[in-house]
Amino acid sequence: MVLGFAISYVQTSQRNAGRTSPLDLVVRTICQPIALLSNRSYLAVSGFLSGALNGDKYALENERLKRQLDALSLYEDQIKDLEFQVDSLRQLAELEKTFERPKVRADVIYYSAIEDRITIAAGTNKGIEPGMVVVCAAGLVGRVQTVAPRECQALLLTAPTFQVGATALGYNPAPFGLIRGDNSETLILGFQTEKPPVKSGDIIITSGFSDKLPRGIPRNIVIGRVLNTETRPEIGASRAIVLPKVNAGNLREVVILK
Amino acid sequence: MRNGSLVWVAIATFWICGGLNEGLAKEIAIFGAQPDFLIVATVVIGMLSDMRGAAVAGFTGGFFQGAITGANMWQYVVTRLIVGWIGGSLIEMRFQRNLMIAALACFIATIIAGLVFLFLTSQPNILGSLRDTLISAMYNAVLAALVFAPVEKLSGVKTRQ
Repeated sequence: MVLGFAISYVQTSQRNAGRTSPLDLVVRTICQPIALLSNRSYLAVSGFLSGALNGDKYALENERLKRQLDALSLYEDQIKDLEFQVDSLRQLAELEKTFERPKVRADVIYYSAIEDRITIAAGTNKGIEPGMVVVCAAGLVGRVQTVAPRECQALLLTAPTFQVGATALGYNPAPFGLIRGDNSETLILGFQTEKPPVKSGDIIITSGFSDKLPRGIPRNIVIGRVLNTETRPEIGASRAIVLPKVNAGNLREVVILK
Repeated sequence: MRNGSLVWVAIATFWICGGLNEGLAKEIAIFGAQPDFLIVATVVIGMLSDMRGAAVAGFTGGFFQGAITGANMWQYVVTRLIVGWIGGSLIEMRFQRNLMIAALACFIATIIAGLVFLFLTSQPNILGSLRDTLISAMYNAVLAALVFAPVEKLSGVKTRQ
């Protein structure tokens, strides 16, 4: 038991310093061959079975996507022109070119729902540092907390210690609040107004004003959708319950913004 | 844990179950509840060894789980020590070593470990965590029955009783 407390102390102090505990690293390195083998085998078997059972459906889907791709290619030049205009306007307004940040694409190799953490197969070998933002196609995932040579661990958006500035899409002026996890499937978006400035169904995005991260989270990354709102007149505040867009349990690949 | 082959089988079991916990558990989750291969390993090894061996298995299980998760190390060590103790106690109470007892022990151990873990880590979403613990317990019970037979055979414990 005493040994357990001692190891726990080392783990916590290393994590607070943004590093992975050497003992954790040893265990993960030892277990990694089995983890990779079992994960790849599962994906291969489930992919094979899914292909065998839904082959016709996938062939039709493939045809449909090819047609869509052909249609989209017609607009490619127009999109490039518009992107150039957006970049020029951002430069004029002296804003950062958010999505031009260097990115690292990596696999998710472990997920813990209780701890609200994921382990990602990219570490200092790919230039990952604590505090970097983790996103996926659906939206914001979390931020990197500890980094090892070949992997890192990210704290998910749903963790109670994760806080980020957020706003709702489609409002002028935009309502700003602080969103945080509460260890459950939903997030809490707090406002300093008695009447909640958002309503059910609103899409919540990052405001880009968070000072909780060393590099800052870019604006306009989708966080989730408002489920309901609560008024708290006793403290002159209100809050919205937000369902995150990203389901961390289904994540296979993420992008880390440098 | 004086049986030499049991020690080697225990090391291999923890290694394999640690890897499966890291690489496979999230893929085969049911309704969001993952199986816990390390609890299964702890219960099975605890059942096949004496109380001291069960305590060592509990510590190892907790240490592996805490290291893979990267947080809450002491909470995992404490809860898995309880799991190992449950596995060892059943045999001390003269329960027979068989698949059914392994499954039952794993079910009970997962629920008790889950409840203690909830208390130690002050989880706010108690109902959701209880639901996940219950599903995990059923999952682990099935896995324990599958893991028990090869581990028992390889360690040769039954023949030495």
